[in-house]
Amino acid sequence: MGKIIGIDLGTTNSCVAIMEGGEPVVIANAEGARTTPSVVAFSKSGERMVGQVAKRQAITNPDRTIISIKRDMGTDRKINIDGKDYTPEMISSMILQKLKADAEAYLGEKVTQAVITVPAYFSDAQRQATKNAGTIAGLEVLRIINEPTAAALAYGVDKEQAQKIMVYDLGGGTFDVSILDIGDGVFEVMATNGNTRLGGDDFDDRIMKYLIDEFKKSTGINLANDKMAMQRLKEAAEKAKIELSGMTTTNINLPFITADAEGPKHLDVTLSRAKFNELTADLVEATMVPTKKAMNDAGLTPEKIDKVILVGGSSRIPAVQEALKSFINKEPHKGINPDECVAVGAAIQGGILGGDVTGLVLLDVTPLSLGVETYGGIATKLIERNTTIPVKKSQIFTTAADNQTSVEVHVIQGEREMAADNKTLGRFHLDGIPAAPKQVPQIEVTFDIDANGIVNVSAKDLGTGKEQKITITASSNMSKDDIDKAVADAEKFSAEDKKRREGVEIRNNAEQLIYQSEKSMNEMGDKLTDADKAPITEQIEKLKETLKGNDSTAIKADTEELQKRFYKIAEKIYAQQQPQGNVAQDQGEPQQQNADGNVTVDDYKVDDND
Amino acid sequence: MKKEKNDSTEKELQENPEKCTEEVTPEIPKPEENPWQNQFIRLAADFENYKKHAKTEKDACYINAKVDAVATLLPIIDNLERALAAAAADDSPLKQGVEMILQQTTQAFETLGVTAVGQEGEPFDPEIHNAVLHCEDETLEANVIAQVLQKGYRLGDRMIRHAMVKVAN
Repeated sequence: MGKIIGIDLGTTNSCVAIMEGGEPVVIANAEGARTTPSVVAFSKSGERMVGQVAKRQAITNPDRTIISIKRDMGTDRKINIDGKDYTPEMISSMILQKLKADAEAYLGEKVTQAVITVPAYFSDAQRQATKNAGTIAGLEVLRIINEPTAAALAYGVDKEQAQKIMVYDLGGGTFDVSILDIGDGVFEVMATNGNTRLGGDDFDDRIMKYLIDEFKKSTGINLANDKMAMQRLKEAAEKAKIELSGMTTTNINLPFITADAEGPKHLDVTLSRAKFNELTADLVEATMVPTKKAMNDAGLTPEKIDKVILVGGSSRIPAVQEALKSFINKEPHKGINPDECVAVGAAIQGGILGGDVTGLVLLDVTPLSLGVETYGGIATKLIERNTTIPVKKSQIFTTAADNQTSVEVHVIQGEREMAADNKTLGRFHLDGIPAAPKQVPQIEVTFDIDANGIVNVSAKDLGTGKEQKITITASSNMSKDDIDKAVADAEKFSAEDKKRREGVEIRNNAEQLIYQSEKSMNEMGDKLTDADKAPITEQIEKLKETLKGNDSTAIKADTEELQKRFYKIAEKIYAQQQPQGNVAQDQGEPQQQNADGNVTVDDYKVDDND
Repeated sequence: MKKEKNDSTEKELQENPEKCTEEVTPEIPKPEENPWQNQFIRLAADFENYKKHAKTEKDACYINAKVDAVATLLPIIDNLERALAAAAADDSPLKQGVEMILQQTTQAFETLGVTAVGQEGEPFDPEIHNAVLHCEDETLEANVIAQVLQKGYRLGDRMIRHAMVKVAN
């Protein structure tokens, strides 16, 4: 069975989406755009164009370019091109074919089934016409759903309890508002209203008009007569509108916009969001009238609305959102791209129909990190929180003491840096490790969480192959509150925990260095003179003394000092081991000087004297 | 020897593609028989496709970033050109200097593989031109570019910006 695509067949723009791995994905068209203009054109040579390419040639070929065909769906209108009559269904099917082809290119397989959206106010005839368009395009239309319903699906509101939702859809050229009653997965359209000739373009026009007026005021030149200038203004106006959704002021800067006898003229206007709101206040108000009407028709008062969902690019305009907020007294829902959310909802509906969504393998995540306690009480995480399960991870550990024949695996859950602050899930011992110096044995610890959240922890001595394991089924017995608390604690104590962990690590480093230094000195015993050994043993004693206390800084300083002293004799040992060592040493000397910074300092001195 | 063997395998593949496909196509269980297995295979297929898309998208990332960056710079170049056009009658060293700056930009674009598109007199092609104006002009043939209002730019096959043009007749 192939994929079911979801299509938002819009008046000005269309969009196609699909469920992929349980998530809706918007498919970009061949040109790389995520929405496709609903424009169809026939070139003079009879070639058919759909989308952006048709839009770009529209002005050269107005008789053979069809825009906003959606407005004619369900009517008897015929469009005659080269003696052939095309119905609105046929034109719409060409847009659908393009979307289908783009989806097929993305998926690499044939697409035969679709869910298509229509406005809530569409009549049966209009719905049938839309379905026919799908059939002509070679798509089996599994369902025609209302655009507001699709938007609500995209926001997942069907999964929540019964509620009343307002869907406010302000697109490029049309405005629709719908009130939905949702309960038990049933969507009922209580009321719908709108304005078929109101959209984002009207907002652009207001900015353009303002720019023309401002320019006329300062220069006396009317740009409205200059077609080239108007093109630039149009682009700049749209850009300014978009910018004012994110910023409170924007600068419209069009150098050399025109020229008069005195020379070139530039347009440089700063437009504030406040001014923009003032210019477009009546447009916003014009959307509120149908909104209030729809509320009345539904017999609802604003406080009865549980949620407001924003659809259409122009719903991003802050003044629109504020107007809605002050009317409904609730923050409108945002999050899903308003240009895409109808197509996303259609894809979700397709997923439900195809069994992709309902029977989906619900992939869970681990709510908290899992790990083991390592030397010094540190929590070493093997699986980070929010990792999708099933998952399996391993890490190699070793022993902390010489001749250690058993290790304890303390399995912990939580975000804190120290094991003691986290929750213990279980403990077990791996015995029978052959006696060896510390840090030689290799113990592989493996965490394996299956799809049901059951954790298997095993520890294996790679030397002998001996293995021990534990199965923890209680890992998910923490309530949501417990989990939230654990995460919050980890954040709260993060600085403190980090310090403690660092303290332990400094201590571990110190102990390890003492061990190594002593071991090396024993091994190299006869190659070293007492004079060589003295500063090291002295420092080891000093560090051991410091370790009795808890001063991390002192431990760190003493460790570094020991390291330094130890390196000196280490160099000596290596030099002795190599008979030709002298040459190497000679070469090495200047390098060392460099490292110490002597040469550099001298250079600076010379400079200073100058 | 080895090479020969490879060749023959390849030949076999070409000659008998159906046979090979048959072998590699996994048997898809009927959903009612084993829904879990079915779901697993679908998810596995989804994942395979996802990996392919991820790779394509990753490859496109560099080009997209380049196109975006160049597109942001284009209005500056347009305005430099407008500045020069406004000073058409001028012959000062200042203007010459500005012309050199513009030339430098063109060279920089060439290094990036970015080329300008849109010439007056060439036939209108909506793949590279964006028609915003239309005029009747008897001296020109039908559907040719009467005026380039704003140059277009492309990076290889990818249009960065379509040339904004006035089309005749």
